[in-house]
Amino acid sequence: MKTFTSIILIAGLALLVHLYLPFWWLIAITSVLVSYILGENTWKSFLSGFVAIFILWLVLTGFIAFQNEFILSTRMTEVIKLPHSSLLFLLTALIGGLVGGFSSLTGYYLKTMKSIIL
Amino acid sequence: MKKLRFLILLFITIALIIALNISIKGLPAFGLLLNPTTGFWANAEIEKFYLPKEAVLDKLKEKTEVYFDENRIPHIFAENEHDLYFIQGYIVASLRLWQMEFQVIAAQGRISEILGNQEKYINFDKSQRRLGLVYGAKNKLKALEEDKLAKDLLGAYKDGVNAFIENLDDKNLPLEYKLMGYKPEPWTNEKTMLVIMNMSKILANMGDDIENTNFVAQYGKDLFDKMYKTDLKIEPVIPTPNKGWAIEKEDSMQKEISSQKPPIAIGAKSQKSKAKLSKTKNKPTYHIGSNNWAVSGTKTKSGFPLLSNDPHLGFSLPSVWIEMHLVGPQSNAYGVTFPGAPGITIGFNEKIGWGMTNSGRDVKDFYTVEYKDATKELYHYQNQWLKSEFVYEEIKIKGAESVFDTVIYTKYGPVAYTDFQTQNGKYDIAIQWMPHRASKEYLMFYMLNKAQNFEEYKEATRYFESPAQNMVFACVDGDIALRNQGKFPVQKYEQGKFLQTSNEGNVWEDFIPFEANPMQHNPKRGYVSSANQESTDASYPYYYTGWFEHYRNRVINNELEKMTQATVQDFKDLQMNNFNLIAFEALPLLLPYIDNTKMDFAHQDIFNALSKWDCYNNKDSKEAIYFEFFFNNYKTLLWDEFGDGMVAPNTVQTLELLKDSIAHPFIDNKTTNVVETQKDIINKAFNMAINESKEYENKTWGDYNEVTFAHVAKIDAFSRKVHAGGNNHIVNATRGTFGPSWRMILDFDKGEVNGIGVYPGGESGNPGSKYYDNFVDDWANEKYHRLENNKDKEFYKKGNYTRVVFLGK
Repeated sequence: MKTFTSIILIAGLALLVHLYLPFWWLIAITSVLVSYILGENTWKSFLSGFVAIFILWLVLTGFIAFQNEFILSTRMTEVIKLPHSSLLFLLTALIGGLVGGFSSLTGYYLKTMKSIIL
Repeated sequence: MKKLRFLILLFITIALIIALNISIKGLPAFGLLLNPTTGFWANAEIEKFYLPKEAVLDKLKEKTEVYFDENRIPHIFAENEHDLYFIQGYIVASLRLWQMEFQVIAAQGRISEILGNQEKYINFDKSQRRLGLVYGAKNKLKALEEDKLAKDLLGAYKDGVNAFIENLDDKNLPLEYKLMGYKPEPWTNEKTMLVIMNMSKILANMGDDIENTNFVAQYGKDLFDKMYKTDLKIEPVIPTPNKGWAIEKEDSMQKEISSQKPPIAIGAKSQKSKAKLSKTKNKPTYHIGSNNWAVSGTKTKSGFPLLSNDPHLGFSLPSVWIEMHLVGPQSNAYGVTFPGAPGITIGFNEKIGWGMTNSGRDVKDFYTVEYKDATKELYHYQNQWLKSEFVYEEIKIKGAESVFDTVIYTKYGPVAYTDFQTQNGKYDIAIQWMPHRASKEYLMFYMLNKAQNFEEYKEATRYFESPAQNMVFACVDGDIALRNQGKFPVQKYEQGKFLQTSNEGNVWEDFIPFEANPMQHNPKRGYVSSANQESTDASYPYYYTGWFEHYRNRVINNELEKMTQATVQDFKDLQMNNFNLIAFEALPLLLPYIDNTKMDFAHQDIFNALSKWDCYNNKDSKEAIYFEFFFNNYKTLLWDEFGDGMVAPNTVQTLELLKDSIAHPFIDNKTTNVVETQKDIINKAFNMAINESKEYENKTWGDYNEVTFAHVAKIDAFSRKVHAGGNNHIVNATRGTFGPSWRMILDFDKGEVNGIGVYPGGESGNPGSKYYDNFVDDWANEKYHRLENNKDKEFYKKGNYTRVVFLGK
């Protein structure tokens, strides 16, 4: 349950970052924050961050591309020389997922470190 | 331990984010490019309009409204001229910022700064600087800024562009900046001047002086005169007026100069050099050209004039043109302009319409520079030693150390080539080029946008000096006119055809007076027309040489001559006319040479097809492919001797040589052991064409004539291809990467100007917008749009337009 809550929170906060803040990578800070509070273990922390941002970016880019009638995603697939358009979405989501996963894990490790100090 | 693992993870996360935000090995920064907020996804246009519906801009004086139609064509309504030009700059930047800046960066010779460390980019940058585009822009800006009005208008346009740039955030940065990893710089008036220098490079940069000199050095002047005749098939832009040319008495002296022969810096025939000749770089392709014409009410159904213009330029995406409507307190102009050029370049207002074709008159002369010694500090000029001016150019390179180049400026202009190998030896070659000179072209556009009649049109053209144009005109009061306008030096006979020496002192000082420029106003024949042919016939009292077309003009005049009840539809048909006059004249000369006694069926079929062909390069024609192969092979086999250092005779010269059976040493193909005759090579060319056309057995001319609209930075994914009829030297001059870049027809019916037009491109420069290329299909399908020039705001408020309001502070 905690993992599910983490995913929702990480994705939700990241969406707010995307809507209102200028730098995309600020999603790392919100992910750290969520896992610092809710992180359970190494794998679950990484996974919740990864899955949250992966899915968020997939949905966001899918939403944009659909409204854009796939004009730009088709052209950019060719620019980046990907064999299929779907890979452009997956590559984007993967980048987001990695940043989400690693930052979420960092948040969890910060928490475990702190509990020792305390 | 746990602290360590935290620190490691923190380090990995930060390193990952940094790695995603910087460009590694020339690859774009993937995080920056792909993230959904500020990456390329942000450039994907969705339902929301691309601009905020309201914006406050510091330097704007009064409220200014812009109405965008369903193709995103802007109609700008300003209360004063400052605001009109300011918002034009803002809107053009909002649609085309990357393109308008990139073309200027190219003119400045700075593409290595953006595209990186490759020899071809560095060589391009060097050649741009040696051509002196920035030097010319500075000279022009100085002249224009002396004029208070011009300075204010240029300033307003510049401020408008910069207002847009200042409001740009990472999200809205045009896609190409994100891909190539750089940001826009502020716009300047000098950049506005560079836009016109770019056009001069495309339109007024011809020059075969070196090649002609090479030819004469190797084969002699007699053969040159026989092979490069210039007075062939003339139907000039301006026929000789009945009362003769308007030349003032005091000009008679200059007139005399035109008949004097200059000393030509060409060596004796004995100086044959075996060295590999250098190739003259930076020469424009000769496929550029254009058509324009106007007919008076005596030849139209409505009894009022009609005007047509289709300038042929290189195809690109975004297009070289942007379409707009500018309504100011005393003006209402509609048409197209170059992104970065204030006002309307080709178009109309409520009273007049105007259009352009290029005039190929030679305004670029080449001089071998004779230095005193190896330091190159002094050069010979009229038996004196003058000081060379050294200009040091730093070419910055992305990801590498700068490269430095020294450009020497002489009294003529910059040394465009150093150590250039000609038939007569190696030289530094300086150029004297009209576009380098101070002039005020933008004032002409400003005045034309407001001109109300023939007199005001003529007065406006006074400001246009280069690149010289044939400017067609028509007016609601029934006038039509055509003017060969530019500033031209008074040249001695054949001056400008061959290399000259720096010592001769032929710096242009006398110029053909404005009143003596060829012009036609309401001619008896009821029409005016131009298609890049000779400006005049030999009766014109001033000597000039140049690069002229010999086919489109004759087809157009032939059609116009026949018209008695012309309509807009007739003009559309003429713009789309695919009659191949070259084929029509060449086939009767070529086919009789074909030996049709020992032909197989395939040969016989094609021979018969060509014999019966109507000579139209329509999309569905098969014969057009056969002829294209046949004639190209013929020219290739015939002129195989002409490498980099010489220019083969053009098509009309080639056919005249064949027609008159003139003997010359080039008929023999040097790669074979036998001595060929015309008959041999014509048959060989025919056989080669048969073989080549096998690949196109079930194809038509439309399949073969693939038209490419390449992205300005040659990104394939942002380019488009279509198939079309036409060819070079055909009125519908659509071929490969060149053709009608804007088709416009104006109808001056009952005191109004009604226009239709289309250009292959789209208003938006954003590859993520459907307005990036939405006109391409319309253009390919010969579909025109109405050019709405209603000046009543209410009309747009009620219609299907998107309103954007700009407020001053």
